[in-house]
Amino acid sequence: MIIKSISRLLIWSLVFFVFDKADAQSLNDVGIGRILSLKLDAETAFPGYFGSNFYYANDKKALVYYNQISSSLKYFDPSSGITLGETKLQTMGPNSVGQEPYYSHYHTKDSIFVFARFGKLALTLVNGKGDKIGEFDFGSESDFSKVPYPRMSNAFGGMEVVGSKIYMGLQVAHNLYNNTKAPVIIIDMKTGEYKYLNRPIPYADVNFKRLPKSGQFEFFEARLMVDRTDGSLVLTYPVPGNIFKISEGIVKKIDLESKELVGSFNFLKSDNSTYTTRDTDYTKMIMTNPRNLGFLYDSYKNVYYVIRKVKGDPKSYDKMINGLGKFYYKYLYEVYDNGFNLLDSKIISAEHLVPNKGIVVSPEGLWVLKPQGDDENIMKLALLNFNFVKN
Amino acid sequence: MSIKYLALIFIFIFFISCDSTFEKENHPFIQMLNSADLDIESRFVLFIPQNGCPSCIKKTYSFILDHTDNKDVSYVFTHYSTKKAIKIYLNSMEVADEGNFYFLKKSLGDKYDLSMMYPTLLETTSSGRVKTVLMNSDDYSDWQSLENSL
Repeated sequence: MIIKSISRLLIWSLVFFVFDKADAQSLNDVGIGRILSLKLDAETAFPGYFGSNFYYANDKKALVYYNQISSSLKYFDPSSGITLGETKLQTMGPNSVGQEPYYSHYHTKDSIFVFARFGKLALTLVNGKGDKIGEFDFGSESDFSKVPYPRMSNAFGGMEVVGSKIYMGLQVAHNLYNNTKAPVIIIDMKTGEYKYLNRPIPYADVNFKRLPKSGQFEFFEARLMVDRTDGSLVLTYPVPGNIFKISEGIVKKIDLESKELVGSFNFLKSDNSTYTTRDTDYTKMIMTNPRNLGFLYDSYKNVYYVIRKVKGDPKSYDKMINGLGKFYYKYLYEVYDNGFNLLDSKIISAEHLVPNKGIVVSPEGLWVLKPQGDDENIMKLALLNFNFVKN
Repeated sequence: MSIKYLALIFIFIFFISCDSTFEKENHPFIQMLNSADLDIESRFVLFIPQNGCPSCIKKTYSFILDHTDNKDVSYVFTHYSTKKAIKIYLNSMEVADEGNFYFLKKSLGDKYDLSMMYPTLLETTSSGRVKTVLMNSDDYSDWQSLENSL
């Protein structure tokens, strides 16, 4: 009897061991390497729908996460995942960054830029203690003739700071008439002056009525990246085929090598007045359409990472709607050298990684947030295994 | 049967079919709550999608703060990333859980076509029928109407 029980226990242990190893192998097979578990304190939670900002603080050797719910930047040890400290932002009083700060950009330990949803059209600069040390206004030209409301794009690519210049990537106006310039503001920190980038005007050759709007304007977030080697700006609009490199005022459209992997974009019919956001065909179009997320610059390896959502399978979507299956987005992760030569690429399901929620470059490479697991006090980042040598 | 009587029958059927309320057990959102083993007896049930329109979510939390003690309203949080974030936010507002806060998995909300953008109000009328209101009016008249009913 005892021998029978022990045998049964050994067999089941072997079964669990095999399946556990199989699961670990599957993550490696899809291109995921090290997993870092960040231990969250009582006031820190996984990002909401629009994601949040992650950075690598070179001067602190720490991972930085902007916890919107407590308006604070949390610092984590990149080896152990334990919390090292925080910078608490103030929303009232003399150190106020505005109400509902939702975008923070860690530049150095005493230079943190913050943009708030309400209160002011300005970037607030705070130090590591959260004390306000500067402010950069961009509201004096607020006739909203250029963009409906200067609002930074979410999660990443909404801001870069290089030298004395701040580059802000904003949402595209969702009608043709407000888009007279690119949704990019460049602020000179020395003079305080700011200007909009003149070109490229977003979707200049598209009938805006044919762009699915969606409730969250997912086709309207422009993201930018500055290549520190030549100072050029790479600007991405979500609709595929809209990637631009801007250098000394010259705008060049970039065609990435792997565009076929992303799939073709479906526009609405030109007489789309019958579509509503609750129309199944409309939501299917939004959910399955491919889109660009954006670029990230890796200064450690001198490469660009590009993340794009791959066209979804409409049949899988239909099954999901009818409760007959699951539907996951798939994302294409690519790494290019700064001549836009493709070095490596991977397609990974959102079942494993959610780049729209959080993504960061560290000396080790590109980390992407994993979906929230059962333990809400743990948030995991996964390091992608790329081949950085061109074949 | 004369045409006049047929017309009357037609009109009668027409008006009955215009009734947008359901018997409680037939309402899809009641069936959804039953699927989730959520037995909520409040007169009003407010479904709050966490990933929806920011001003709508803000308005909802403001409403919760003003009516936290009112047992006629229950709140069901939907389309959320984590329950923890909602609890942290409610704690920061010093809103205590009076036993009328619930959570509904996104998959169930999607299955029953619950709005992921705007709050949805479920009201059980005095006759025991159930109706829904999508809380998305531009002038917040739907919220005012709810306030007046409480």
